[in-house]
Amino acid sequence: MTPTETTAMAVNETLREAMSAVMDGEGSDMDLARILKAVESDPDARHYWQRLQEAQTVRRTGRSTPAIDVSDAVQLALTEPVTRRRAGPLASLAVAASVTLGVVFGGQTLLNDAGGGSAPAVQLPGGVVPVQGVAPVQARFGSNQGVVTGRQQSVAQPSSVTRVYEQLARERMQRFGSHHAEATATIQPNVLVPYVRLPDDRR
Amino acid sequence: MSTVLYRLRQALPGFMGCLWVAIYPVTVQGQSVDTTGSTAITAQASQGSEDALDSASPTCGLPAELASRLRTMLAAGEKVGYRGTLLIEYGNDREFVAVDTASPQGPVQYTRLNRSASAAPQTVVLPSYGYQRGLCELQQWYSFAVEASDQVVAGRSTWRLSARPRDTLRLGYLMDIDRTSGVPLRVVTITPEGQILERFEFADVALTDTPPVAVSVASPGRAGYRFAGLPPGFSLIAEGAEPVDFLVASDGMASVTVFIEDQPRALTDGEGVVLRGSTLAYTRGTADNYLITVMGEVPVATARLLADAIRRRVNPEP
Repeated sequence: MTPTETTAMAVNETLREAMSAVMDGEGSDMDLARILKAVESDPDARHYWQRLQEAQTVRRTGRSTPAIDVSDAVQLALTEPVTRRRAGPLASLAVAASVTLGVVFGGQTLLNDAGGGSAPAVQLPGGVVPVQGVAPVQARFGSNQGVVTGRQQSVAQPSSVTRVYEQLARERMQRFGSHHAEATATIQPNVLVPYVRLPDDRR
Repeated sequence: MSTVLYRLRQALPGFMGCLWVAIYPVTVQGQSVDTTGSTAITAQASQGSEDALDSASPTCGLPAELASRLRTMLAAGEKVGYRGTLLIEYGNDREFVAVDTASPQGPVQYTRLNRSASAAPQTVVLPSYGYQRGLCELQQWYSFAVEASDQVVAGRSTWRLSARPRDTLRLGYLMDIDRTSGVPLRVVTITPEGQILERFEFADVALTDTPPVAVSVASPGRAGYRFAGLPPGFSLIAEGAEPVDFLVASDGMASVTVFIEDQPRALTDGEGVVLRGSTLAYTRGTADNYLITVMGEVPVATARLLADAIRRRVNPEP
């Protein structure tokens, strides 16, 4: 029995049906409330919900969902520039092994370039496509390149519909970014960083 | 060490425990760093000045000293201004920005220093919706700890805070916080899976007692849509109808704005996501022919939940 099957069995049928309905866009307010409550308190439900999310992304985008390659240089990230991080191969091995054991959830593979160009693909949880010129830092030990900001992957091309929606998302980040920054600046750790993140036409 | 790992697993729910335990045995500047230091500091703090704490400021289950530091940090934005140079990095992007929030009654400004030799400052208006962050609420969704690492940032002494999400619906943060003012001088944003999305830090900074001026916003209007429900910990903090219908929600650290508009053209259902630093934009087309865009500093799973929860108001008029 796979871990996913085990998790599914641990989630009651009513909740599974509610999750399926919401994922199909047919859920009621009660279904949604039930899911929100369950993912808050039940790790199995949270895991099952995450799996459904992955499956939906694969179905909608045609993208595969490889195991997450997560290593972490969190502490290091605080102390060194992102282009200079290094660690020994043993550290890399230890982190990779622990991550392999610890991370079995979430994450969907993403492509960087909706236009099919040569920009590197990156992994992010939930199917994220960085806007052009911007990629999340994927911290990794033992690489000659220091922190890996992206990597080529053999994944299916996104569907044309997905490309269109990625472009729409990109346009909306441009159009609504300042509104989001204004609305949330005082909540964020630095009031000006949300503005600095805004796409800049002059690039 | 195994005892420490066991304690951490007990302290963190589910897989987050596994993940953060996997994350923390890393190397910092040639020194082995594990969670022992963090645990020790937290435990020490819990034996500290509990008795001296103002009864009006509950510790929310946190060590008294940590609760006090967090309150100072949360209030710093309204009490302290700053001028300086900020470095922000995400992916391959890296830029220096001159920032100024300290002009008395003046505008908040920033200047991108790598774009033009004579770049003009950008002026920012900070709206205030009267939203107050509560430490006790935050503590439900984030696990706070003082890390055993003191850093000097921009020439100032700091203490290091880790804010680890207790679920996968929000991002995590590591902050080096100014010991005197509580202003975060260096912040790293991390996904629930441990990936670093963004880092910013001050290269130089001058702190003042003149805080940035936020302009009170009575009400930007009422959106024609509502949330049928919100992810755990999030609450609605604002809504409006310009430039399109929008709803703003936050859990006190993470924040999202959901924009709803008509479909620009006939499209089948679908979704797309782009990311810039820790801000993502998730756009979904629905069968009802409207387009939902969730923009915020949250994982995409949270963005999906928020999009799922959008409902058209039957009677949009107040």
